[in-house]
Amino acid sequence: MVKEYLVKGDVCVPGKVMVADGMTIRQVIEEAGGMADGKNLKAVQIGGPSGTLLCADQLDLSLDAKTLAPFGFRRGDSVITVLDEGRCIVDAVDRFMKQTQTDFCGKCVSCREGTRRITELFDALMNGSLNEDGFQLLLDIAEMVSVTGFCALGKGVYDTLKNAYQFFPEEFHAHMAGSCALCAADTRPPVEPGDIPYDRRRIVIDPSLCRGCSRCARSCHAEAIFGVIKSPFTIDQKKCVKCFTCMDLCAFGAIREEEIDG
Amino acid sequence: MAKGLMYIDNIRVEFDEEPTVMAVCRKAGVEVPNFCFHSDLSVYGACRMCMVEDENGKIDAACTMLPKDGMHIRTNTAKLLHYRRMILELLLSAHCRDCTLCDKSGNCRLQDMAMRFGIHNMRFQDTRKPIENDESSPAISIDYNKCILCGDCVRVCQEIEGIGNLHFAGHGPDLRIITTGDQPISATRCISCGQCSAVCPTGAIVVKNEIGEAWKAIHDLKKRVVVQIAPAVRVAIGEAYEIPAGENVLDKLVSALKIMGVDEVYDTIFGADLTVREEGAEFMRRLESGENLPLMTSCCPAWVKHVENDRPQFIKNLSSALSPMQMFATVLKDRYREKDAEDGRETYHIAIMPCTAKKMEAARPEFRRFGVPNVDLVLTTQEVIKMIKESGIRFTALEKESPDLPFGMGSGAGEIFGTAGGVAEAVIRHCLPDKSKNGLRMISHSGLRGTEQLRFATIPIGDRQVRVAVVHGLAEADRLLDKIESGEVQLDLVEVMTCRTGCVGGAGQPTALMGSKRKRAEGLYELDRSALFKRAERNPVLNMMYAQDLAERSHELLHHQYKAPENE
Repeated sequence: MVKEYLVKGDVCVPGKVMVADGMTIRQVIEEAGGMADGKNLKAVQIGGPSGTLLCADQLDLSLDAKTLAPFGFRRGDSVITVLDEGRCIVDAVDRFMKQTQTDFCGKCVSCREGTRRITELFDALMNGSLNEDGFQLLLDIAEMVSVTGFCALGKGVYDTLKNAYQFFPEEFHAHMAGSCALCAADTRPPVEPGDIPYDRRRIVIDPSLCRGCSRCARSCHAEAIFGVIKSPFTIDQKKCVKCFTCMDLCAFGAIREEEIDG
Repeated sequence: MAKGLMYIDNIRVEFDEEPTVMAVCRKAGVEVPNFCFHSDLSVYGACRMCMVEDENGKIDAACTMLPKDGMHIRTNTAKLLHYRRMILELLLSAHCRDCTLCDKSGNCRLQDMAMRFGIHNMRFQDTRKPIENDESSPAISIDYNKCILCGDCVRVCQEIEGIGNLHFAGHGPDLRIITTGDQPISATRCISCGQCSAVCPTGAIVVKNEIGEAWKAIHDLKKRVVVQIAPAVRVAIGEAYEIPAGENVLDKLVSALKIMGVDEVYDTIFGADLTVREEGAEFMRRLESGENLPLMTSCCPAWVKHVENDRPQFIKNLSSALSPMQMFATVLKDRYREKDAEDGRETYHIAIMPCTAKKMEAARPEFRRFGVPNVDLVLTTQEVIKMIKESGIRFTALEKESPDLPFGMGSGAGEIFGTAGGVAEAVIRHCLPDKSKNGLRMISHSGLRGTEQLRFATIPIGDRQVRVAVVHGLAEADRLLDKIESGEVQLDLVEVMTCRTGCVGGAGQPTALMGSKRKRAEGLYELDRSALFKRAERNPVLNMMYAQDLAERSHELLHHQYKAPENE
């Protein structure tokens, strides 16, 4: 069976990749154009904050639930975030943990209060004010959440952290000591977790193609399109609800979707 | 034949109908710690305190685990204790820590659990934004900062009372409880039944505390403090002093109140007798004319409020007879006006009730005469317990004292007002022409008594078969109203109690499980069995008063026709 994955992060061509049975992670990354800027791979995060983190050693394992189950892989994860050797793993894990605060429901105590404290402790780790005891507490809470959480989201929060600490302990210790060489050296925009988010897409009208027929403006459900007849129209991004009605209607193909920052 | 066999901490237990491992644990006598599990409510599984370990080392919540044959459940392994401690620490660190200022202190499940598990230091700061308290309700106070989001209140409001006035809002770290529309609770359709406060494991929702007002009145020499005590209070207040549920401690309560400085102590069953007579007469009138049947009882103020709010088409069915508390209060204030003028003191009337909605009823503008409320203050059983403790009275060592005369006397029919089914039984006793012992026995075996939430009985009165229904829990009552509306059932008399098991299970009572609520009800039936007289019409004081002038003035004093709120 062929499954669709979204490969993003430090690859040449981020986007959808069709993954057939038995394909290895390395092959999947090759499908997405290989590593960007010729750098070496450091780690891949499969899934969101409750997914799992794998390092270069596991690259030749095939991307299926059975093979990757020991690493905490869950069926249903379909986003692969690729990190290259220049990325700080602590920073990446921190960003994934922060994602729990916007994604999780908050129903059960262990996950609601647990992930809240995990992100607080991560904040301390990132600014170098977390000591060894604090870090142990962080691991302890994450483990507790992974056992007592109500649903698979909560139960999955420990895997990323556990694997990251197992593969790259020296980076965590560097953060506890207060200085991380990788964080200091890496000036690129960080790799954010999750899917390419909804609000990072926008619908725009190409002024060179638009003939100003007003058809899009008349059909807009959100009254987000303005303009003067026979001159190019524009879309108010704050009002646009991204229903794509205008895109389907435009006779000149002037309306397209674009990503805000790639 | 049991469905299966399992081991709870090596205790062999057979299970049959138990839906969850938690229920089987209870059967084995092992109480797994929890905040969000109530056998009357649906399973929610949010508190994660009830984690147990099975024979394979798999850890899961007992409240959501299905019992299987041959299971070996451990409830107290080192791992589980570690997790529980951590969850408790996390809960407490996102909670107010002003325990000594909290109304629930000493009675709080969170505090209790923290002591049980020895949580002495907390490694986290409370980083939540404070939310303002909601003091707008006459019956309950809400402090959202003490909420642990167990969802008990949300479920009891929806599942038992059918009001659905409390909801979850937001998600993740911003999850919180709101009222409908996030308004102050008094602006919502809240009926003040207080069941949310009864299930709340912390001090987030508590009964409004009016102890200060009571002391002020008691210590005011210009005021004659007169107290009435509701029947449901006497069989529950002892639980705070390790007296078993259902044991009548009215006489001790009377002497405690006298020591505290109350001038006169009376019994609400006197008012209940008035209600029975007025409501019984009204019922017979309606039976004859066939108008506005079924007659629905109006003793429960939360139910009345619910009809006004959501079922205005049934307002005409509500009995116009006042509730026992108001009956008592109007008659008392009326009788004492002369006395007040004579000695220059003002009668201050306190009603001790098992109920939070009575606070709301007492504050209703209809129940005022001559510019003062009939009932000046309603204290719940919980508040009286606190007052007794505050006074340093050793309740169990008190000498017994009976209530004062003339209003300290009532029938057995008045006593059973405190339990679901009691009002209907009392009214039927009054209306049934057969006054013999057999007649009484026939009524008590007719199906009015029992544990089901909805009970039907058919009782022959004269040449008519009178159809009676007793329902407790407003969600169930709403379903019955739907059936009455559609014509599916035809009834002549309907008794509705908002709280499960009636007033004995009221929100003002000490918190209790269903078992002790049933024992309280049993205690009231026992009081009825040993009562001097069983029927309201045999109350000698009442008969005297009716012979004087009460019969002519009954409409003025003892009735109020509820009307639909005008602004809707």
